[in-house]
Amino acid sequence: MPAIQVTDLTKKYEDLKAVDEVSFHVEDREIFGILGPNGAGKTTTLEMIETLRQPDSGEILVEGLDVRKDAKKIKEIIGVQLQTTVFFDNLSVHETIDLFGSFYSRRISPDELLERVGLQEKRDSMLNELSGGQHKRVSIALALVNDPRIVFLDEPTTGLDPQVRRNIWEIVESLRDAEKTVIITSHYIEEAEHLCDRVAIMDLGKIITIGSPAELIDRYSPESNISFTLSREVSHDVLAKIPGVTEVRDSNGGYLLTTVTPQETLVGIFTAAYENDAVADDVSMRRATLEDVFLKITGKRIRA
Amino acid sequence: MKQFFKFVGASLKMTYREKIALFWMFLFPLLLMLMLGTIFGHSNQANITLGVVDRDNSQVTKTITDRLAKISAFKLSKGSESDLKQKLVDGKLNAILILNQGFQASIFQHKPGEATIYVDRSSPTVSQITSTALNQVMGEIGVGMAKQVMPNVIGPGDIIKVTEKSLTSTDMRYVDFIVPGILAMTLMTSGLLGLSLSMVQNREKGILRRVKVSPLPLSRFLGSEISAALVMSLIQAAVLLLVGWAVFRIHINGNWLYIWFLIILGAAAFLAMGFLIASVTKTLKTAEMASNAITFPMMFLSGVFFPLAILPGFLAVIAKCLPLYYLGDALRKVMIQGKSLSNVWLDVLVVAGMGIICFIAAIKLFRWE
Repeated sequence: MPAIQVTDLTKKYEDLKAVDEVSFHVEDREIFGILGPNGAGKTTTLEMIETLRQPDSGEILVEGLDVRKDAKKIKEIIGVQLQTTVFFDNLSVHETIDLFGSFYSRRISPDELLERVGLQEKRDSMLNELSGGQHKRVSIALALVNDPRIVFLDEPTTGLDPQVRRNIWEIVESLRDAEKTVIITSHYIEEAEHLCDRVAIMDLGKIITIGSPAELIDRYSPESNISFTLSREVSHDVLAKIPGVTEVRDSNGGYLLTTVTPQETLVGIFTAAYENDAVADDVSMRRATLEDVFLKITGKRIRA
Repeated sequence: MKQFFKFVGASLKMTYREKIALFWMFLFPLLLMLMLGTIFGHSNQANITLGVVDRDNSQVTKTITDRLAKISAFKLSKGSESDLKQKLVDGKLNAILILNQGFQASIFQHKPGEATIYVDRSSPTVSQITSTALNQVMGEIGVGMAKQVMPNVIGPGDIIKVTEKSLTSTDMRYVDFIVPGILAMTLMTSGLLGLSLSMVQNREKGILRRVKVSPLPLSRFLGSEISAALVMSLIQAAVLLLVGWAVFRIHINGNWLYIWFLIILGAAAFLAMGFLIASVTKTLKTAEMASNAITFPMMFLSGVFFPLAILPGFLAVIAKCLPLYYLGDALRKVMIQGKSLSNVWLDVLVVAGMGIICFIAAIKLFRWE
């Protein structure tokens, strides 16, 4: 049984279809990402699964439980980090976790949670004394307070600087080790590629495609770009004959080759250079990313 | 239950850490009590309604009555002694002047004529103003008569001897009057501002959303919020009473059970109003404005600081439209005059009714985001 099964989920806000007939499932103990630009419907989708919003139509099963009928049971087994919650100013980190823990029948001790998210030294600090990253960690700790089987993280790193973002990633990866199912939304490509077993790419209320990052890249954007310079000019015709090359372009005084078999093409570049008495230099290869996949399918960038 | 106590405990901690809130909740009412008690202790502007009983029915007593009638500050009212006394107890009269039998005879025998003033000491300001004014006027009349009748006698006290009596046995001062008023006011402000602001804030910050994804029903969370605010109000009430007793030595003659019943009722009713404000406002700012728009006029127009009797008539009418008047009135009657709940049933009904209506409306209109 999948951890989450979503079928034909729709939610309208007045005339706008925020979520439009979305179907997907999340496997047990995987990290599942929903990637898309702002306003794609990621948060609305998540909040319907979390029982926070009523779907207009469609079905959601969480561990086989229907969100419409068994919301209370679902709430016991899920942990939720909401995008924008700000907690009580005048409570300490420890007191905040202790208070929210009291809402659940099953709970982990606040100190154990603080250790998990690396906030032991901030145990007695007031919430309003914390940095943005520390505040996010508190909200992740609160998502784990009932030792949930499924954890929802809604843009856990938005607005954080890269170093802090990596700290949060480590916490998310530790959830994989703790055998939790994690469902995470993001508009950061690297985040989805780095963390997720599978990714659903979402735009304008619809899921465009689902798969592991590698699969998606292979499927939609299998080409790699190799750029290099040559000490002597070589005609495009010669370069086009290198195995695997699909396109040849000039770029910044050098060449840019697009290829589906980067390894063969790399060898071919050096061979062609040797045969034409030239020396190849500044060779760099760039694999496609989910950004390229998104660009390919929608014709626009995720972060406009 | 565990969650309930956790939340109440957390609320108290948060309030304790919010020093500005502490000032408004505890220090402000106490300062107000001190200020009003010292500054306005001797207010002196009133239309005094005076009942006059002429037991002597003589030329001299008639002269006195006529003179009193000519003084614009007094409004005279005649009737049988028992009628007038009832009116005084009901608050329709400020004082009764009784000119004793043998008044004229005494004066002709060169002895002072005897008169008695009854005042209602449970309205201390009025009682003070009345007796001062009456003593003064009687003195003036006495001097006038002394010049005519007995030019050899000097002091007015020799002509008219006034005995002051109170219909209520309590010895009451202004501070006794304002403590119940300030208590009522405090229950109102902390109910309205305290609760509505924290509720709106919890919604604005997304805390309600976070609660909503936990198994705790939102109603239970709101219930704990309201209960925590109630506990806070009761602590405030206890502190106010304690300081009132320790510093000002207020006289509390009422039944403690009734007093706490009224305090809890008043706190709950105004908490319900605060809840309603939280339900109909969207942002912290509008909630604050709405609360202030309600508390400020009530604070000054409900007769919690001054007895309605000394206010112009139209203000008294306004006061009677405001729920705070009824709470203040009930607390004063029960705490200071030692009356029973059955004597203040109308007050209790108005306050409870307002609370219930606000609570139902609040539940209907509540939004969690």
